[in-house]
Amino acid sequence: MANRSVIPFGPQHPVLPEPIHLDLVLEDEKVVEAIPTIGFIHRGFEKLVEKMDFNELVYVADRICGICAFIHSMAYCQGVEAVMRVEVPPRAVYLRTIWSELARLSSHLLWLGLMADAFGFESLFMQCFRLREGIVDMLEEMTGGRIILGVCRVGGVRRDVEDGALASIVTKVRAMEKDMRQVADVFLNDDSVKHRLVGVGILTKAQAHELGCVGPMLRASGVSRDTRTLGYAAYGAVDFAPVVKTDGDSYARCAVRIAELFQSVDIIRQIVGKMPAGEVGVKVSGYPDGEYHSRCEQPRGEVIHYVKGDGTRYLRRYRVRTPTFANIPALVKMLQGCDLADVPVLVLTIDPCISCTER
Amino acid sequence: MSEPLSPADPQTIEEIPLTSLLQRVQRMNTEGWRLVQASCTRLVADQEVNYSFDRDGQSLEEPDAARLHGMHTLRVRLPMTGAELPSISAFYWSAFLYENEMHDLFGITVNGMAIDFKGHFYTTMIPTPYVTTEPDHGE
Repeated sequence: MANRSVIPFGPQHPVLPEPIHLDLVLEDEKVVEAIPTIGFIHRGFEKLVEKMDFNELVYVADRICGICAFIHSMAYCQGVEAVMRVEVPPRAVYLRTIWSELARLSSHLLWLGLMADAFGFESLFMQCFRLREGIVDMLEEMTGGRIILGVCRVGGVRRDVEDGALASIVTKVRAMEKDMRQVADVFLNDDSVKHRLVGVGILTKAQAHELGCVGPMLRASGVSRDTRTLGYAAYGAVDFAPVVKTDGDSYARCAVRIAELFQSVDIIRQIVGKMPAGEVGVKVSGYPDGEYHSRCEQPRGEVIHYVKGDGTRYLRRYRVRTPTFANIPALVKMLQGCDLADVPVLVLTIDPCISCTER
Repeated sequence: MSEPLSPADPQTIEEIPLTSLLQRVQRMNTEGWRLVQASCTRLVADQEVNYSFDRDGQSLEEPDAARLHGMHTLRVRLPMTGAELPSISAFYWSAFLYENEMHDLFGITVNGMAIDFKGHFYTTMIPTPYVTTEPDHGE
């Protein structure tokens, strides 16, 4: 048996923008075991229910993450609305859907850029971030916020967007499609990129299911599950199907995210085409009394906001299960048997968002 | 005229005695449910632990799998202090994350976890921060 050594990976590492630590047990250059540690920056957001009432908590949910902020606030609001049986006006849920998809575009482009950076493809990294900047500009035009949008509230949204401005957003994202195809072509066809991704970190369909994977991680292993098919927000009015690949390797995970870029553009086009007129919010009275697991599909997969109220201003419990939290067990399994040189790429292919996880 | 929105996500909660937890979890596993999440909630006199599962896993081979969602939660009640739970990681390996979280935040002893961080999963200024009598609501 080869000598075993333990290499600490993170929480500070050149390819890791987020604080996760892995103890990598190696035999020569092969990883035989990986033990994860998170919790370096646990913020205790959930415990804020003791200090902030259920309306104020929307602002907290919006700040759980700097990448998928809007979907957190939407998931929280949906949970409270379900408990309080609030009927949200259709225009508000359609706007929520548009912002969710723009957030997905922004997140996936960010991930693609970070991935390119991780394997040293600087010009590709810059192209991805240039495209992402366009998406963030659109969010700013519509909401006034670039990252933390602050537009969701219990009972609707805080801002309406004129139909002309929505049509303009569709024109802009469709114009970006051409540039996105160029970037996608490099990720999917460039030999140097494929060399780092194809056949690396294979997760089978059965493993993905058993380990509780979510999002592109799961769909890249052949499981057709996407929380958006539940029909929350306005997804019930959209014609789309989960993007599924079957190889289960890093390349498949990359391919799923790339395909989802174009899917998001199509969903935005459909939603704007069906945008109903009317109010964007209703007055909410009373306090939440009951419980609900609100589920949404974030860029990284299914997120769950559990809210439990007892008829007072303050929730009894607020709990967020983030997609990265659900994907960590799969990462641990994928790392077993991989080469040490592939560890950074594998960690990145789960698109880790430890900020979310350390809510 | 826009199309009608889809109905809400159907969810059910089943309260079970602690003694039958492992048996029920094993059955969920055999039936192909996936573990969605596990969490703890402190109530006034006791606390409850929720294990949520989703049925879509049973349809791995069915192309229309995504339409078969439905969350079912198993709930067990525990005393406020000295609470102990058996680990479900024999059936759902990934449960070790949730179980370590329950230990570090709520002070619940979970026996037999697949990976036991022995209280070092989360770094918090106050150990087991959720172990309080009643929230003060900042008032």
